[in-house]
Amino acid sequence: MRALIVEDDKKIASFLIKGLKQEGFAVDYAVNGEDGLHLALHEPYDVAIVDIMLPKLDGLSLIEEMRRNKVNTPVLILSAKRTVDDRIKGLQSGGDDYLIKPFAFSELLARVQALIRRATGATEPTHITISDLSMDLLRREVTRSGKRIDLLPLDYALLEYLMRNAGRVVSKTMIMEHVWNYNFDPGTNVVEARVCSLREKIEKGFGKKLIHTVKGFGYVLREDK
Amino acid sequence: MFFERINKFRRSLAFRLTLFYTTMFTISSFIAFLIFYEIMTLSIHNRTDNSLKEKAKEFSLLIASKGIGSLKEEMIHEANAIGPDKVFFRCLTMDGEEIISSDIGPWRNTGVSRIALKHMGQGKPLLETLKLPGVKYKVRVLYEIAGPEIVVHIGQTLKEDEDLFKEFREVFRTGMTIVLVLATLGGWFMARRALSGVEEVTKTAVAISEGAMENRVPLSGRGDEIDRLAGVFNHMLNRIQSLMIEMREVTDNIAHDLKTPITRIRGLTEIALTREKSLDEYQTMAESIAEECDRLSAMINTMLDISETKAGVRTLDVDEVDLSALVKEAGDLFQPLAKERGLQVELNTPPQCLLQGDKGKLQRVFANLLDNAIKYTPTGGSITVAFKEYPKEVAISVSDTGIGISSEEIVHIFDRFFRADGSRSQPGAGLGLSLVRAIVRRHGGEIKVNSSPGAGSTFTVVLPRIKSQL
Repeated sequence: MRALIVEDDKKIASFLIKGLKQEGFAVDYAVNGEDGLHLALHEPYDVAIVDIMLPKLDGLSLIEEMRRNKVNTPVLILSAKRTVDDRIKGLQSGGDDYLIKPFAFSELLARVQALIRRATGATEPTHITISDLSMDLLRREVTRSGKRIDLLPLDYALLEYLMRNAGRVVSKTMIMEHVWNYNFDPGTNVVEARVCSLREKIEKGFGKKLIHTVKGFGYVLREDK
Repeated sequence: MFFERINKFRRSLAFRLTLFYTTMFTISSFIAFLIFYEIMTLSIHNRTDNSLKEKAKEFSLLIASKGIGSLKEEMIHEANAIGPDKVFFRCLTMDGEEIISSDIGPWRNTGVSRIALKHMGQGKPLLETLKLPGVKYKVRVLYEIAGPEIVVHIGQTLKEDEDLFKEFREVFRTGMTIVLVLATLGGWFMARRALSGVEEVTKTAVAISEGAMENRVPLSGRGDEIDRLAGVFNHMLNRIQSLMIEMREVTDNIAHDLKTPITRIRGLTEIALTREKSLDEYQTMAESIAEECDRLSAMINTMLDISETKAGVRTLDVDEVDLSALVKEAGDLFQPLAKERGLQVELNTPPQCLLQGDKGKLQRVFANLLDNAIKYTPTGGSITVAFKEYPKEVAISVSDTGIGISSEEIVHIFDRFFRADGSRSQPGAGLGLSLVRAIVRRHGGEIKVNSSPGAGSTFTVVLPRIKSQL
């Protein structure tokens, strides 16, 4: 997978490059809009990550120019602006998704992968299996070691999100927003409590731990080696 | 420079008002004078004509009684009495031949009009005004049948009338000049007086723009339009000032609340950098830093949300919302947490409760209220959500058996950054209720709180069922 990063803040760029390389991406990097456009028009990328505020050529114009030249690489826009208007403007100019700074790298990665999946037309899986835990996405059934586990809708949604992002850390904010569609900043450990109750159901009596806490950050579902 | 000032003056409202007033006043005075003048000249002309006709009648009576012979003496006598240069009398035949006359010396040039004689044939009197060559004043002449085949021809100078008119016109000119001056002065005075209030408003605005925020426009107390403008202006200033004070407070609080986590982050990194540590220790520090950053970011977002909601910058995404389902979902979300803390959550929701609103924002309201209730209720307590439906509004109350809020604290509970415990150890925690109120108000509703310390609190959200303009 090849990714293009157009970002003038060198520190943000360097942490994006490091993170994406760790995930197995080949990364090219441009510090301004003109260089970014040049690369985007001449190299085949699977995904581009473009900041809006850029020197020489702003991100929106860059994307518009790409689209005018029939370059259909999916673009994830990065911006510090968070109003609906800015989001709409970004998507209208040809961007495919929009991420607001500051963001968690895990969220960026999830979105980048979703964009690539959408662009390549990868078929949606009907089953996800991690270790002995498996989920039938069509029937909405969860089994572990062949034993059926009944889950409340809220717990099912949480588990599905963790399984789809298996191996990646998801933050509490991401869970709030993407699983339950709540855009709010809790003063209690409501997310922890929910994860805890989900653990009860899928781990108790099955031995191996699957949901791991990443302190200060969130959770990751993976098979412990 | 000079022309600029002239131009500025010409554009001023006072100048234009004065000009308008002067013009209107002058035109109407002029018209009044003109009408008066016309009526006066008409009546004076009539008087002259009548005296001529009377004379002719007198002569015709004399002819009838004493014959034409006695007339000559009478005519000379009469003419001399008035003045031979002011009037003449003569008798003519129907062909225009002079029979007798008064002293016609000064009137030599007064011919006899053929047309007039022709007119006489029809028996009608004729009046005409003549301008004689070499004579300054016009002359009014009368032809009238005074007896068989006798025409009386009387002429009278209009000197006196014209002198009178001239005199009047002079008075008129002087009068108009005075009127013009008075109208201009009066207009200017009135315009200045009326606009003096505007001047005051302008002066205050200038002073404020130069930084004297506490200045206000003095009210005259007349209750006129300018006074009302000044009142509204002052009201606006009060509002701006209170917003500015609020902003300053918020900025101070933000600075404080941002500084605390930044200090912690800085401290952690400093410790990490100064001494060698185990990987585990580094990891723990990185985790703490990530947590602090998330809090900071959440706090900034909530602050922006409050400002935007309050200012109405972002439009609400209004749709039909089932409040009952929404509250049930929020309750479900918190269920495991409540269980963990040993709290009873009771949701008394109706089967359905529809209203117009922004679902995401309303979710935030109830999630925040439940979050707070759980946070401040000790183990063994209970939280109850109840609905009360009225024809036009819905009241949803979230009650807890928590620590409650004291009466001094309760007035500040919705202020940004206020925290009842008085501590600032938990950044952002003071923003929730402020945002809740902003959202509820944006929906045209209100939020109230009832609390007794130690016994618990009840937050009641009242939302209108239909709000046409959100």
